[in-house]
Amino acid sequence: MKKVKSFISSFFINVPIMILSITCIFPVLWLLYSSVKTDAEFTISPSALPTKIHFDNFVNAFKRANFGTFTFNSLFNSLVSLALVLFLSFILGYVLSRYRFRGRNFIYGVLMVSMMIPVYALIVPVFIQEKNMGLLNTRFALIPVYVALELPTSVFLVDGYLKSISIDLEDAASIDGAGMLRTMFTIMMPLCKPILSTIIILTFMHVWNEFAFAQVLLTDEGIKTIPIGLTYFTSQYSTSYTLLLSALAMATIPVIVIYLFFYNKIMEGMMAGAIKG
Amino acid sequence: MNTREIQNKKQYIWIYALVLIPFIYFLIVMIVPLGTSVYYSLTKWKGVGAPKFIGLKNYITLLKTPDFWLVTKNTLFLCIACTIGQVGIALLIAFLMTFKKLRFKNFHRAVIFFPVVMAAIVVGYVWRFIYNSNYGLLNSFLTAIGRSDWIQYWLDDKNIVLGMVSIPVIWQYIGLYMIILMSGISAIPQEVFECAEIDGCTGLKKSIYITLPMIWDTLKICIILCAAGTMKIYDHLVALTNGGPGRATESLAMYCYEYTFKFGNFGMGAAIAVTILVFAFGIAGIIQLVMGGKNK
Repeated sequence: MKKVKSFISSFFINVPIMILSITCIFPVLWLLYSSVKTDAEFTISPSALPTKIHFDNFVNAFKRANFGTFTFNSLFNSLVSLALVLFLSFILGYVLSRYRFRGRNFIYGVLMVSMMIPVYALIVPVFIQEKNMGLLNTRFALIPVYVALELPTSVFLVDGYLKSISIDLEDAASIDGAGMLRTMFTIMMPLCKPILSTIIILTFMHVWNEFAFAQVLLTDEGIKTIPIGLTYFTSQYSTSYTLLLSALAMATIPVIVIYLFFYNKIMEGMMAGAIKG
Repeated sequence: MNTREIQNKKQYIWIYALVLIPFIYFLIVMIVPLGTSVYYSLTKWKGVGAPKFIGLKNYITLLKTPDFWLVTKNTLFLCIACTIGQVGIALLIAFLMTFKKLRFKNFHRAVIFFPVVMAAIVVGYVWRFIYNSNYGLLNSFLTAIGRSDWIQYWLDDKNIVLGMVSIPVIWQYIGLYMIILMSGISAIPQEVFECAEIDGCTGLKKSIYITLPMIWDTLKICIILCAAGTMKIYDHLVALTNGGPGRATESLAMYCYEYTFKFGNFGMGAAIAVTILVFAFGIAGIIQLVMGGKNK
């Protein structure tokens, strides 16, 4: 009797989670294998596995729909934002964490509250501001916004990480005559590599996936990013489902690859309080 | 504390320079628009020319528009559905994850979290395929299990569409709150659990009487983040239904976009943006009140 009871309880613990996991993974797998099907195959049975792997859809997406340009723009935005976020958040995080000075708590508080603001409510005002500054619809329209969006989380990550590192090394460096900047960049920055790589991954994911600001701030075809390109696909090529699926797959594959390789880093960043959807 | 002394005046200057450059940049990009949007919301402005100050007129017009109330109702519905769905399911899973009988914990954690890193717009389009009435996975699944009488036009029926669009949103972010809650649980000292187990408190009882009170603050943060975050819902809806049929799935953020960029009414757009912020802070405040202060 006891065995039966234990079996039943483990059944009720395992099965619901298994079902949830399957529903989480299946749409992603379906997206990947459907993107290499032909339209005819897809129409006959949308859920069946492909009989033969077709890469034509991917080629078509690049040829007919400027997917190359979108990819380049997304990469450009991601990389430039990344470099800036890393640099600024390290400086700010380091100084906030190591020194106590007047106004520190105020800066800390502003960054903290700004994490709670649903930033997308700021789309219209940001649009107006960029228009006044003449940044609107240029290659550099999105980068300042992305950097500012990612800054608070990244600063807190650096700050939290430095709290766990003792200051002995920095004291030793300053006794040996290293100035503040030198200590900061040549000694502490390499030590912070683990958290900096977490920041790189989180920032890359957010910028790569960002949609709302990109939609509003860019209208020029040549500087649009992948998420915007996807909406363009649905309106232009609504007849070819597999073409759209291959575009969706291409937008997702880099994310999957990064997720698989840096799973632990991503979890670390999330656990450390990087709580921003 | 791991802090260093500021040794001389020169260092002071350096510190302020290093802190203020990024901080002022941040203020200009994020906080200044907040202020200007409050100002623009009090003006009549078409995006060009000089804004004309009209006081609270935009807000009054807004409150008199039935569409605004419909959109607000939609957003609040999504907000409540998503909060209950996301945090509720995440809490259940986080509890189950503490049970010894659960297998493949790492697999579940990795898989359930994955949708969080996908682009919201991609999630929206993928679910549009799932709901599609001709080629949709959901309808072919229902046919396969012999319940073709359950088949519906999932995204075209005004009565069910709002519930249908909330499912992908819930689905995507369960993992995020699961991870936050799990990290909250892992911060509980192991001795607490051991003591409880010695006293005969196991399984569901342990979750409710030991784990839940210990992670109460984390849970509160999750609920606030989720509710305030859903107020700005946009990407999913654009990809899934684009607000249709009619305005049945339009959210406040989409309404704001529409007013500003389709009708060119920037003053009104700013007023809606301010409304979203007020709602978000209001909801956060209410949750804070209901769930108690820090000492609970």
